[in-house]
Amino acid sequence: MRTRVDWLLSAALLAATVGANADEPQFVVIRAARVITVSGEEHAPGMIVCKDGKIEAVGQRIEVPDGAKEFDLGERVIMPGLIAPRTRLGLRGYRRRGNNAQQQASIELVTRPEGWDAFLEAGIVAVGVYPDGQDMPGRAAVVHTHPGDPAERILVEDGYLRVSFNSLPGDKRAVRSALQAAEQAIEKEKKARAEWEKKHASAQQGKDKGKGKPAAKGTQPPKRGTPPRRRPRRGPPQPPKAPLMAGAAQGQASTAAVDTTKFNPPPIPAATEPFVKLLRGESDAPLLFVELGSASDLLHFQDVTRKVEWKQRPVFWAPNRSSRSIQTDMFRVIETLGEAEELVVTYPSFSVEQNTFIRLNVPAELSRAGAKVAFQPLYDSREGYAGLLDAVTLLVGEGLSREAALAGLTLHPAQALGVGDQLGTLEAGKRADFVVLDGDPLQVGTRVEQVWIGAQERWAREVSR
Amino acid sequence: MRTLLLTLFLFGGLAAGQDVPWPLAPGGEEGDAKPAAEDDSTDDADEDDADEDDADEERWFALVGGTVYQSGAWLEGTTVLSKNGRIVAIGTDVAVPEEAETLDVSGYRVYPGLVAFESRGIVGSQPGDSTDVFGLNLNLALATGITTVGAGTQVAKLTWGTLEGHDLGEANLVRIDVSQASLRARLREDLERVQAYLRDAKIAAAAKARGEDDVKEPSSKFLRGKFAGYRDLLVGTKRALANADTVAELVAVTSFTKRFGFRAVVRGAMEGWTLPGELGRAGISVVVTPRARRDRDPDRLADNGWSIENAARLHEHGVEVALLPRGTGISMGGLAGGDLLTYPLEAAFAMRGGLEEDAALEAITLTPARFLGIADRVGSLEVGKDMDALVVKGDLLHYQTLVEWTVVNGRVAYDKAKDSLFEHIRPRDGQADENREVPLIWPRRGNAPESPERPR
Repeated sequence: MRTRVDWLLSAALLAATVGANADEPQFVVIRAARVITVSGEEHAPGMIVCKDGKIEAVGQRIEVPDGAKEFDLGERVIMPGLIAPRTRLGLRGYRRRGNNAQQQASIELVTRPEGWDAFLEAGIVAVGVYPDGQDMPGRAAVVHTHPGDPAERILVEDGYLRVSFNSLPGDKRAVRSALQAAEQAIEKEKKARAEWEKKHASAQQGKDKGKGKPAAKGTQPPKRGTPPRRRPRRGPPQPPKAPLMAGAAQGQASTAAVDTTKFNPPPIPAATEPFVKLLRGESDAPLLFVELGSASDLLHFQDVTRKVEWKQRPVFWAPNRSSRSIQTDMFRVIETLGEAEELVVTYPSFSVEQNTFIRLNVPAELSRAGAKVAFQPLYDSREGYAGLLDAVTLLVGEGLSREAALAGLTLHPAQALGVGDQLGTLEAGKRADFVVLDGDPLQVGTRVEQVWIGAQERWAREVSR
Repeated sequence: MRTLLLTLFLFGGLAAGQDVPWPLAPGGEEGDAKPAAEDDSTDDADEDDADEDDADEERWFALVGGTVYQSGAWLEGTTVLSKNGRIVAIGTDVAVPEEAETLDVSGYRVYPGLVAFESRGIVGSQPGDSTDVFGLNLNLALATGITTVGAGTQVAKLTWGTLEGHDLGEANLVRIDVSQASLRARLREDLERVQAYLRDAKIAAAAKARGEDDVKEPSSKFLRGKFAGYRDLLVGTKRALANADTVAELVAVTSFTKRFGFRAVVRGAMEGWTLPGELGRAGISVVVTPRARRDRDPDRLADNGWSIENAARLHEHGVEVALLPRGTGISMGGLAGGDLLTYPLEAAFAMRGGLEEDAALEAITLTPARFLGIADRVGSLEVGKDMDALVVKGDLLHYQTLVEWTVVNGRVAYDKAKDSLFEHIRPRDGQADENREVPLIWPRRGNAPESPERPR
């Protein structure tokens, strides 16, 4: 809690300082031999005009605003910063089971984890840090990888809701019970509302008696029924739990204050709320990140979520790999994923049809079938990230289209993290987060030379060539 | 033109239980179906959405022109047509709707899909929630022609790549254990308790019917868990399942079935051939393993040990016989290794012991389905039943025969030519190499030649 306050303070301070010396917008202009936008055409040569850390314009020739800082990167190539959608690099593992949808991985990021320079070296500007654990361990955080201060670094605190769905039947049961709990909560609210409306109507009929009393009687019992009984029992541990119960406590406070005029829905447990939103198809329902273990898991997930009308399609984590001990069979559902144009996060690796030597380029086939593919390196380690570009390059050598490969490194992972409108391409209005390479990104041996985040150079390779 | 529509008498309840979607005038199916759908959409404004959806999803499938095995008879040049996974017509002049998916099986034999009374590792412990519908074992079981399996207390269809129609729920069996004297005593006590309850309940009901006032009904609170199962047993809605191999164990089971009047399925029954008449009279059915061997004990005077004639003798004496291999999983160890991968061979071994072919086929299809309580849906090719079939060239019970296609719920669940398992063994004639996509092959280790397709 305290650290959060610190962040807020520092953020306020930062805003103050920036405000002081930046009454006028700060323009930055970067030129390079080539600019790969991912969203559209490539510009060679190209230039990017940034304003206050955001992209103002991208093109071959743009008018340079007055007072702009200009940088000429020479023969280098610029592309949007890479994004890794699923990492726990430098973080400890922990075990949590069941529905913990209210938890956030961002609380683990009070300090920048050790070893995150690996991201910058690999050209990764933002990562999705997922909460560890089984079933539904919580919400991921979307974080910039540079060593800035926390308030600036954390982009999104309630990113995708992770659903681990690779150990059946337990995981299927967990999702089912979460959805059932949500259904019950909706049902309960419906009942409470009907009851309230009845009372409210009768209260309005009997105006002489005064509006307050009957309505209050109507609303209080369902709410007060449980909490007062529980509180004394809890006794001592109550204060530390207070922040977690914030939602429920607020609900109670408001009932006490305004229960006469407005219907106050019965409180919904924090872990159930995301699923209630999902079932109701609300616009702020969480994006689900469904971690599959095998092709069959996808069918089981579709089976258990039949009732959900998706406002936002879930993202599927579909690991494809083949080693002596592990052979995944994601190739079995390529058509299913492709037809629905799902966003699929997968390893940039080849695999084989199980127990055969038949080789498969699952990412290429997925993208050909219509799915959007995002890449996450096979190993969540320095070596894994360092080899990301080369791994994708190999896939391109054997059938993956260049567009799909570039989008799989930038735009699609950004969409998987729910920040596709801010990151992932070089377009006007998006954040000026990009990497500077010494050649084409899809050529073996190309190295990341600089990483720019918010139109600022945050990292540069030290070795001179 | 002869319509080959055989209606079979199977067992009580089947005829009542099956509903045939609509009249089966051969040639008239299409015409009948469409007006019906239109009527629906005009009549009820509320329901027509759902009906239209159903109509859109009408799934027709036909096995055309095969030699169809229908409980003892071979019907040549016969077409089996199914709609939404249910068989709607079998005959030589069935009109197949245009939109139907068809499989030309002329020159092939069509058998009902095999039913394995017990299995391990093919479907999940709770099939609806944990089966890997792309699993290797499931694939291999389909390659054997198995379409339905019992698994623990559950029954499941081997639906490849879909969960639709996969879970068939609980088997119709109540497990009893008669292997030890103490367990037998306990079982007797429990059954007597349920029996007493049923008797009292009957008396109370009769008294009520007579109009008596203070009728005291027996407490049914204890009828939970095993007691609920025992009630189903005594009422006759379920069968008991017991493991018994030796004469002594078999006699113990017969003593229970005779005393309490229920039906039992005995798993094992290795020495059943020594008292087949006794088992038949006691209402016992058996699941036997023709190749289960135990040498004769020379110290005992009476017949004992195994016999290859076990299944045949029991069948002769009116005992329902289902077959099962020694291992109920899928094993890769050895040829004809006595597991579900070679399930049809068990029938062949039973025939070697004297069982007729029809009985042997029934013992791996309809009889196990009956034991599991799903004979109204699977186990034979009949109108109203599920479209579960296997297609082979030649005799299913020949050891060299490989299943060409397996159909589950009117969907091709296994196609030998498209699956990498047995595709290379005797490739299907006609379409051997022309339309086959040659997959990109990893270079093999050792000195095997590298694939020419490997890009450099």
